[in-house]
Amino acid sequence: MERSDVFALLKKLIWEYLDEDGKNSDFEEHSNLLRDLHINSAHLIDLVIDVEDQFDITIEDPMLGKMTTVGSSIDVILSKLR
Amino acid sequence: MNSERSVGNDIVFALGSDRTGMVFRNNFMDKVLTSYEKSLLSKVAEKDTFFWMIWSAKEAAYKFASRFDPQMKFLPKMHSVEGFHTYRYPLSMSKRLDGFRVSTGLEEFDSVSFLVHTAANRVTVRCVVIGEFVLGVACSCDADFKNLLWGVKRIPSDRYAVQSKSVREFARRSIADHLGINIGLIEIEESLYCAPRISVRDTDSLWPISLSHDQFGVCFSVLLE
Repeated sequence: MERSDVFALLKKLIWEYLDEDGKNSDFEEHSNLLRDLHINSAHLIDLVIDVEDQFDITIEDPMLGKMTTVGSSIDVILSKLR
Repeated sequence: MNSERSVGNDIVFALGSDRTGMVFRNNFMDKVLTSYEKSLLSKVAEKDTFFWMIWSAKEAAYKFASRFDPQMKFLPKMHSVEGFHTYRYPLSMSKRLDGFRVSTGLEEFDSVSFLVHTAANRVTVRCVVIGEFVLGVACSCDADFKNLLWGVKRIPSDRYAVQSKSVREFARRSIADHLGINIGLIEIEESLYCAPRISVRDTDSLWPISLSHDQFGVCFSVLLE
């Protein structure tokens, strides 16, 4: 799976957790999930579970801390897919 | 233990549509709870409420500790509950909070007290239920809770921009009222990259403050002298 494909699928998952303002604006790979997209910490866990379901992977606890931006989350997903 | 003073808090809108039952979703609990925390949860009847108490205790402890280490990340299992003590079990999560509640200390409230271990600290977190909100407040020791000014407020919007502005204004108003001074003399500098700071009459105060919001609720906690 290409990086752009992962980005597109991840965007759809993230979108579910954005507030009204977030849903009306775009975001990029450098966007921070907490600080820029304002996804709260409980929903970050939800997002990780969504990612595991979507990509059929398991993200271990130490990897959670690496998923800070959209781009770093893509890195984690790609590392698990390879 | 760091000798500097700190406080951390967290609020959860526990009756929100995406909160009720969330605890039992897939492997959510496996992602966030240690074995010990799961064993605690297995012994209580009101699992949803108790889960959000543990969660808010972890978040509050994280905020307490991140004042000393702004690079710290919130990893739920790293901020682990090591013990708890029930003062009076608070489970009355049926009434809607109308408006707001501001108080000093937490003694008059039913609360659960957790001992939470973080990377650098071991802190005491007291959790209370106010209306449909679970609030957790972390202090370094029991004595600090006597110097606590805190408040919870229901807000009409769950948009982040509204939450962020509302919690700051709520805290400014409450601190000004407590001190008996004009709200214009209180400023709260909030940053996404470090703990918020209070200034009174253009002078930085030494009072640590923590601000939180979740959906339709905001809360603040400030440790006065």
